[in-house]
Amino acid sequence: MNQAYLGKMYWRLTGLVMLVMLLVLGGLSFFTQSAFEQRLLPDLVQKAVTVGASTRSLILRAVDYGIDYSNLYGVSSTFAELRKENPEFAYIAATNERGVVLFESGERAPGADQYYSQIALSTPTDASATPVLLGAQYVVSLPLMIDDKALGMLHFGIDQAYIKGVMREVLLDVLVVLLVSVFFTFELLHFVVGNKLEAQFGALAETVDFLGSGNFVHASRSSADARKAADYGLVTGELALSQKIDAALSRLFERYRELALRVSAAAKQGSTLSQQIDTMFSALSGKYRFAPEDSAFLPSAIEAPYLERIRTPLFVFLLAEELTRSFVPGYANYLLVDVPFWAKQIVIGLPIVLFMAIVALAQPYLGPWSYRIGRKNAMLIGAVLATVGFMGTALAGDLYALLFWRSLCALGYAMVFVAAQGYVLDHTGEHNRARGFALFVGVFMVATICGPPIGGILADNIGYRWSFLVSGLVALVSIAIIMGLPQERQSDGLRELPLSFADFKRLIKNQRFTSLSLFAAIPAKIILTGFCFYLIPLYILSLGNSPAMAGRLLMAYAVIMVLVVPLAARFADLNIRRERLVALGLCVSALGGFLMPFFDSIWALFVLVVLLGFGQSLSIAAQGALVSDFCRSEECNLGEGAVYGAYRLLERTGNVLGPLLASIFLVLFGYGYTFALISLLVLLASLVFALASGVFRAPRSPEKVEA
Amino acid sequence: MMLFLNRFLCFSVFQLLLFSGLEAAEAKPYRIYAITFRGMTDVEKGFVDYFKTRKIPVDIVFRDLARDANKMPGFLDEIRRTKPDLVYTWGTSVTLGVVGSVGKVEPAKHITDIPVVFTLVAAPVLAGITNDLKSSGRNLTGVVHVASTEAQMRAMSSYRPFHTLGVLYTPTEQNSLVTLAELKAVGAKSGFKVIERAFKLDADKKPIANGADVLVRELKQEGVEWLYLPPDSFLGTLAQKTIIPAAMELGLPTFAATEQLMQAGALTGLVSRYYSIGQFTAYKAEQILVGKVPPARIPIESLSRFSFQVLLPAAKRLNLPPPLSLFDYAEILTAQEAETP
Repeated sequence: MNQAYLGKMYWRLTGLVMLVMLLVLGGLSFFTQSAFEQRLLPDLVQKAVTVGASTRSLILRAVDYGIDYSNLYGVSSTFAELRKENPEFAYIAATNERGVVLFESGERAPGADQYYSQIALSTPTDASATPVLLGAQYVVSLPLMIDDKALGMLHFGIDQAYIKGVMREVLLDVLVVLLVSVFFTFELLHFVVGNKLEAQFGALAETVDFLGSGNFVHASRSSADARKAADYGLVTGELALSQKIDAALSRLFERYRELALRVSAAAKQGSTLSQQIDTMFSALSGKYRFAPEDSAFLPSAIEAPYLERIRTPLFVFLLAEELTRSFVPGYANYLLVDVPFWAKQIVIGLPIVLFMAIVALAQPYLGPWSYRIGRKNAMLIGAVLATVGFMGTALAGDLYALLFWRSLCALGYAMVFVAAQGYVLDHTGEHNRARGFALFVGVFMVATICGPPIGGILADNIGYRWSFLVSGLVALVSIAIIMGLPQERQSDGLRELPLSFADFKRLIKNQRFTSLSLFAAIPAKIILTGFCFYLIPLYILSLGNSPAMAGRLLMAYAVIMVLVVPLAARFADLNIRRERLVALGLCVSALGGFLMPFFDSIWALFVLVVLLGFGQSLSIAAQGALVSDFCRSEECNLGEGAVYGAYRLLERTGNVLGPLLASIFLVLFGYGYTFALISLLVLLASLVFALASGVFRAPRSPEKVEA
Repeated sequence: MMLFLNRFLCFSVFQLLLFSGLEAAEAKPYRIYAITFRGMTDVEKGFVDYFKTRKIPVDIVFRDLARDANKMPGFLDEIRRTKPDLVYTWGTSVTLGVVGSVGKVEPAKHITDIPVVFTLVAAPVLAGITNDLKSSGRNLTGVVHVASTEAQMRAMSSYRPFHTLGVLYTPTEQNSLVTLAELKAVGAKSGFKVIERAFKLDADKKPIANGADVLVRELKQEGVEWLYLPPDSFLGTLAQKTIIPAAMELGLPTFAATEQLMQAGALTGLVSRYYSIGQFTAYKAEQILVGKVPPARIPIESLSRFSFQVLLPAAKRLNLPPPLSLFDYAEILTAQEAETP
């Protein structure tokens, strides 16, 4: 009931915020469109006048030196340079006193000749800087005069497409910011009320569960928890409810005590009737629990607030890293130095490869370490390292410095990630571990939605260095929030042992496990990191787009994940074999790449990202579940943690390989074929996996299905 | 990047000193022995004026070689006798005459114990004055007056793009051969062809002026689009009277490597002002005399900024008006300006 109720609450809130957002967006787009009429065009006209004035003075200076206006040299190339510096000008021309074009750069608008000769006839001073729409250009005309004698005119064509482009960029940014603010609102809601609210609901739900099972003692405890949570005064209705339950329970206990007294009094009489009563009373006590004899046991609902408290610091910290996703390759390109014998593209990929490698390799060791020094301390150290790393990255002088500071970020990231994971393990039991990890994944997804687009917008507006500084500040904030985490109770922690080589060897011998890792998990990561973290940000820049566009695409990926993962999980629960989901998902994720050799556009990339997100969502949950399916015996012997540890380690090598492979292919084949080639590899891997796991064979027998 | 920064800082310090007029007066003036190659130029004016502005007392003795190498031994004797605090040398020939080329220094003949500051040397490394511009490793430093060949070619093609370049050179002048080789290297890199013609030599292997105009005509017939005027001493003597007029007659634009060649009537060029070169040379001398910095620790440099000059009457006569953008940053010389020496 707890989950269902919360879920309903969430969706109602989402709907409400979405509605508000849509209204705001609609209003905003309306107003910005009209603001364009009022602001943008006059600004551009003003710019044309300013640029025109300096061009005019240059021409007049040349004429002043005695060079004939019609005989000027290099005018068109000067115009071309001006257009390169000011992309809003689609066309610049100089006409003579009769309106005949002498010099020009760009495409002449239809009807321009007629217009030029027409305004040449009017007294030149009349030709004010009023824009006239010719074809797809607003033309601004300025007179060229020397000693009151008309020499001709300068004409600037402002591109309508440019204006529309600016508007589209603004609208997309607004959309992104609004979407992100929805998710932020949820996180904030969690931060402010969520902890208590959820704890209260949780405790209340458990009270009801305990009541239903007849365990009145625990019900009473849970109810007390609920009341404690409700003391924050947020949901008074619930408080009243738990008070009522309390009152009812205490009445029940009172009557039970009375009954017990009467039963013992009756027993003293020693009659057969009393014996019968005694039997009935024992049966009653067996069925229901009234007496607080097992008070040592504390219900776990109280854990919920502790579990929830990891949410905000984790989110803020992850956000700091996610902010940088869309522009790390761009920054590496900016700081590029010549590394002998290394192709430029590979060097650009190095910061990502190194980051992923450090995270992958450090994780197995960081688990036990964070247990030893305490999760909170581990998170603090990690966050401090990452903060220093971000600040250093912002100030990096060259690529080597960038590599160093990013390594620090990677180490910090791995520490926080592992410690937070450990924290979730520590504060959940068997019954709510899945919920704990759902929370973990949820926070992760929200950060991947919010981070890249905002980071892209930042990089676009304040530059790479300042954006890294912002990341550093966000990480700094996360330190403050981590400090507010409760000191843990060490004894509760789950001891994780580092995976031994022998265990690893044993797992590798399990062919199904190996084929899952090699042909599903690693390829899935290769295509994810190769595409999203390396190729897309670079490709977008090469198309002449901003990091903001890369951020938007990465956000689209994350949004698809958030939407599709729950659906895919439902599929996985249905009678669809997990192997099929995994293979199908991989295939789908690879499809988009094949578009790239043929289309050079953002839209092709968008389709690629959507397909990638869809495919990954389909397979991701099923992959995880298959590990368990495939390694039953190993899990019994080595423990679930060790098996998953090995699996994740293998999977993460894909994170390292992705940007590495992509950069090598990029050197050899260029963007289009690199996308296609990686897709081909992933497609082949999915086929091998499908064959190896018998996807094409007949459906399994029913008893296997339950696995 | 660092190199650029160093250059920048160095230049700024130089400028700062130039305009600050700091008091550096000492009772006894510094004695400078200056040898010029072809009389006084704007370089010496800038050199002398720098010390005046900075109020550094100097006592300069000027001697002119007047293009006659036979006078050199007498000057060297005088230097040994008078023991000045510093020797100033103008141009590659004078400098080599005073200090000798690397590896061929004769202590009995060349000056080694008195600091030497040279000026107006186009390519000190190629001329064998030093192996390294950062430090001569010898008791000398100096100032280079020409922009890099690459920068000059860029400037030329921004005036009018070209595929074929003509150049005249003196086969006996080391400096001239070196420039030719460098031109060809830049041409191979940037995709233009270099066609060269050597000045004729007499029986004593001395270059002669006869037939220089014929060489220019030959180049024009070979289809060259520009005539490049390198920092060549012999060519410098013929530029104003023979070479440039011949080119003008053929409608062949000329590009100058030095201010002297601009003054001889070339169409355009990327040059250092001689006066500024003189000031910069004096700045180096000051570092040695007042700052007591060993010359080997002072880098050999050119000015960090060159001026792109255009001689307007030539442009009009050739009907090759400067590109519009040049009116923004080039120094447009009208006839009167060009006539001043």
